[in-house]
Amino acid sequence: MPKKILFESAIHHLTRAAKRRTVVASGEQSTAISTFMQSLSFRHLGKQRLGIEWGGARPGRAELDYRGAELYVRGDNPAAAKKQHDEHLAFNPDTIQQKNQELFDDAIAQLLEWGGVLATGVRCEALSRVEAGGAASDDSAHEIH
Amino acid sequence: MFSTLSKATLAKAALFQNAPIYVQFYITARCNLTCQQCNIIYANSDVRECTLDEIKKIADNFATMGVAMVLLTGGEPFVRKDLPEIIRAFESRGVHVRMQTNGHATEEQIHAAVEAGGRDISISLDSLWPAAQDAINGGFARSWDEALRCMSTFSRYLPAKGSFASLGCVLQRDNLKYITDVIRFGTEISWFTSLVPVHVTTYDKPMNFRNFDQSLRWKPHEFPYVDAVLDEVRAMRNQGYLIYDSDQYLDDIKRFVRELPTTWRSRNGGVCDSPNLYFAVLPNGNFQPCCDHRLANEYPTYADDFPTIYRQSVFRREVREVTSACSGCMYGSYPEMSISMRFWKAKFERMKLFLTAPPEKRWPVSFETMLETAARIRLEDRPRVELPPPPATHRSSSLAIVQG
Repeated sequence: MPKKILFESAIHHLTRAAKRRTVVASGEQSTAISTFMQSLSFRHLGKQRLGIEWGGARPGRAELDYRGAELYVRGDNPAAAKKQHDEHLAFNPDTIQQKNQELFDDAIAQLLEWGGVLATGVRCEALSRVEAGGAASDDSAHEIH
Repeated sequence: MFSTLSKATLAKAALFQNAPIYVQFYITARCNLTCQQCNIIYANSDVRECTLDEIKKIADNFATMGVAMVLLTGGEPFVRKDLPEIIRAFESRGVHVRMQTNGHATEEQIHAAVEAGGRDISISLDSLWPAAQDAINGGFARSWDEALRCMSTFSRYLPAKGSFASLGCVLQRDNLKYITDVIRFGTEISWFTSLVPVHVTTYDKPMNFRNFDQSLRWKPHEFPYVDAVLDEVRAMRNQGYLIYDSDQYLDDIKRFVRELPTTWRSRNGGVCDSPNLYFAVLPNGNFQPCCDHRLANEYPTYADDFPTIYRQSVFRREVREVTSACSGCMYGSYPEMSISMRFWKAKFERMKLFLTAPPEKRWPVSFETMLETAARIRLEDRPRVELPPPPATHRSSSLAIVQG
């Protein structure tokens, strides 16, 4: 069975966003992030929607809509190359990479807050919390101790 | 096969271990397969692909730096429409090109790649059983046939002299029994085989090439069987089978599957030789220490000042911070480059292999002959190492060698 390319990509970018957080975190926070990441499981929910479930002291579920991510941007054919030149992407810092990073950085920051790991203060619009009944909610208020 | 520039860099690297002999350039993240063991097509999907103009600038810089060899990989490099121009950009500047493919390339594409100067090809082949390979490739029917067809076409277009062809074979549970069959097949059609053990990680330690699927991890009761296969591989190489891997590399695979420290980084303080001997480039042209790690800061290899930055101590320190925190890999080329440049025994083995006795190639090999050869070898009645069932149902610790 072929893997779902965008789904697998989203998982990787989310885990790498957590790694970026770990690098700048204190030792204790870093351990907590690592434990949280090990508790994750993912589900494919359809077109560019990622189901995320975590364990730990504050287990929960969420859905990430990553349609805002721009993945597999081509540079090989004349049209793709022209587009990159017209948009000043070629020979410049990769703004596509930066925007993708921002999306997944925000998502992991929000998840860490919901999971009770870090009070990041970040609100990720692409992420919605799933309540026990299964419905997605935009309620992002959650107490952190 | 190698230009004067490449030979000079190889000599300098052998003497001083500080010359860029090998760069892995991930020219795209796109791929037409989703192989079980591969994660790089997902990890590199977040960056844009370079344009050809940028790649030409990278080739300029690599020539300035004296890069001996660039591996064009992906994803699948043949999905890029401009692959022949990319090959030409490097080869015309004296930078040797190796192409790495899953074998999904048309005859026209292969012809164009060889015409552009591509003389060095590596194709993924993990089994001689079509269904097994198709499953490893992510369930793509006839992908095994495509790989063999591609090999046959390369054997027709590549010159028998001055070219190099190899099979990249991932050592994993699903194909352990058939590794030696792949080597026999490769030898009969004049292709070398190189082994890479499957690499697995966890969600809290993402590394770009490594899979998150924990079921691919080797289990302790399987270690002796991996050892037995590697010992057989080593014996086969000593008998003349075309195997690229050194003794030290094969022994390090045994340690790696047990998650023990390997030896190949021991002569550099337990750290690999990136960026001194090798490094990697993302699809967007940014430098990265290797296929597994990125730097926090961006260093585009197409930038005018990249050859200068590459030599700066600040840059080297930043890379060293990343590499010194790495637990190590067994990705074939990186360990083999360090081993070849830092250990005399392996250095001698390489020189003997390529300088004094290059094996003659029996090319071309038709697709039909490839199919017949593969069928004959996989059905040969011969002892093969076979993994036992999990310990819960298997109580004997003795090694199972089965016929057929």
